[in-house]
Amino acid sequence: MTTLTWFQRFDPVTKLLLILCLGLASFVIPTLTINWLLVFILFLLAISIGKLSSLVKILSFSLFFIATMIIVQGLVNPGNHTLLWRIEILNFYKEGVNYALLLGSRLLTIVLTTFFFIATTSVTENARYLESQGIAFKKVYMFISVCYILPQMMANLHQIKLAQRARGIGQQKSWLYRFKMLFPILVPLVVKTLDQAMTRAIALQLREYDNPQRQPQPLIHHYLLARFNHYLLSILIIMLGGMKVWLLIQK
Amino acid sequence: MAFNSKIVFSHVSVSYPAASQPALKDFSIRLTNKHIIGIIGNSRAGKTTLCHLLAGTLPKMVDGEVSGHYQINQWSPQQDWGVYNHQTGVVLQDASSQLTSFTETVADELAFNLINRGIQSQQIKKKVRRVAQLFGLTNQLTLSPAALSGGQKQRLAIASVIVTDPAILIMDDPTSQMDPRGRQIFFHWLQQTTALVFITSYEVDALAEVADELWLMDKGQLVDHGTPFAVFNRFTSPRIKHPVCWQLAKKMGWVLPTDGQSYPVNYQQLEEAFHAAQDS
Repeated sequence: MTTLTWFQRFDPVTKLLLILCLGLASFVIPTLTINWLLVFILFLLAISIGKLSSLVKILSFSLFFIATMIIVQGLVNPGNHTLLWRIEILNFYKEGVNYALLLGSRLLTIVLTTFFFIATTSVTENARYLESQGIAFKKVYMFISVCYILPQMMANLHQIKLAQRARGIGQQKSWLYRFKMLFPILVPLVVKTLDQAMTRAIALQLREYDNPQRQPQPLIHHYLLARFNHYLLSILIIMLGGMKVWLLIQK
Repeated sequence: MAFNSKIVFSHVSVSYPAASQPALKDFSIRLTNKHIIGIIGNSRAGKTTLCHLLAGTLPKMVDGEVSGHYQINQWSPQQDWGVYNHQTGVVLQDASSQLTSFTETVADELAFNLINRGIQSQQIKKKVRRVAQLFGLTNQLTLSPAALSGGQKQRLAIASVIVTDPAILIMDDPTSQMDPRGRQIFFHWLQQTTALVFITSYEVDALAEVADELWLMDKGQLVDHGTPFAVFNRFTSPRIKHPVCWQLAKKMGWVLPTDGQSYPVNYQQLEEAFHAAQDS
């Protein structure tokens, strides 16, 4: 028998509630240090999954975005007045940089929790669990197909890029050139993905996915304290939501 | 073996929104006791539209205006869709989009239709193993469907449909991505099946071997129908390929002794024509 990893012991709904809870916590907590501590913990969790190459790709894009925010906010934030550092004629201010860092920590919290969910939960596991909770399979499919649109689009894009390369287009390494090459294929890409989604919807109806005789399938793993986790995280989410409202009223 | 089936199309036309020409024009045919019906024709002949009609997806799921009356056995695909769908297996043109996309293994994909019908897990396992063996997918049962080649995906799409033993099979170009071995397995299986089969394909050689009725379509119209022997010996259009047996026999001047002017369309007939030519 295969031993379950620690993240396989938690059910998909617990993981979804965890995303919501941590995302909300990062918006409620105004302290920069605590927010970055949260990011650090999440980073360690993400590393423990073992999918490092995907993590690096996602983080490099997020960090590029955060670096841009630091530059823009550090230079032109309306609340800027304490000079932090100067590069030639450019003055960077503490208030703007701190604000960008806070936004960045929130962005990383959302990115890392979502990565954690996607990397540790398969589509099948998710579908089976939701169905076992009494949700009709048709609704489960609709929810999952929405999640599936983006990966499907990426797969189609990859296919188009391969075809372009085979015809000698898009060989250049420049990012700008590659970015420009994306525009002409956007419409066919979206149309193709929607067409595939429609074909799949037709096929599923033909395959009687909404047959009332359908029985929920046994769960892939035995989950640890699922109900307790749901209650605990739901209470925490309500408390954090309440705190956010209270903080807004206090302002 | 006499095959008990009834196919009725009476003045059926189909128009898609915003299309200038109808996709199917005044399609009429009445047949009984047919087993495998091959549908041939070039692109835009109306083959896929006909498959959608036969599957009952048009106009229920695919937007289009349908006129006329059509019936397969005792059912009208439009009016008795629920009961009819339970009796049919449909393989669409795009095999990979037909797969569910949320099954982890080939075995799960094959089991999907059976699970939907509330069949017991022991029976599911038995049926899944059987169809996997039939379509050479036994070694792939634990793989992800996404990891399969185009041809394997088509075999999986077919296997996942026939796992429920449907009485009627509708297949839209099901072998387009298969390798020669895969096609051979498929057409050999097709001959054995007890279902009423409608199949569109460009594999005219294989259709000439297995089909007992051929429908030739062009620009949305049924231009000819009959046995493959009759149809291939009647039409002369260079736009549609004849079977290799027919082409070879024509070049060699090997006619069938039955009428002394028709060419063979399958290997059995070719042998007959060859011996007749040797004897004369």
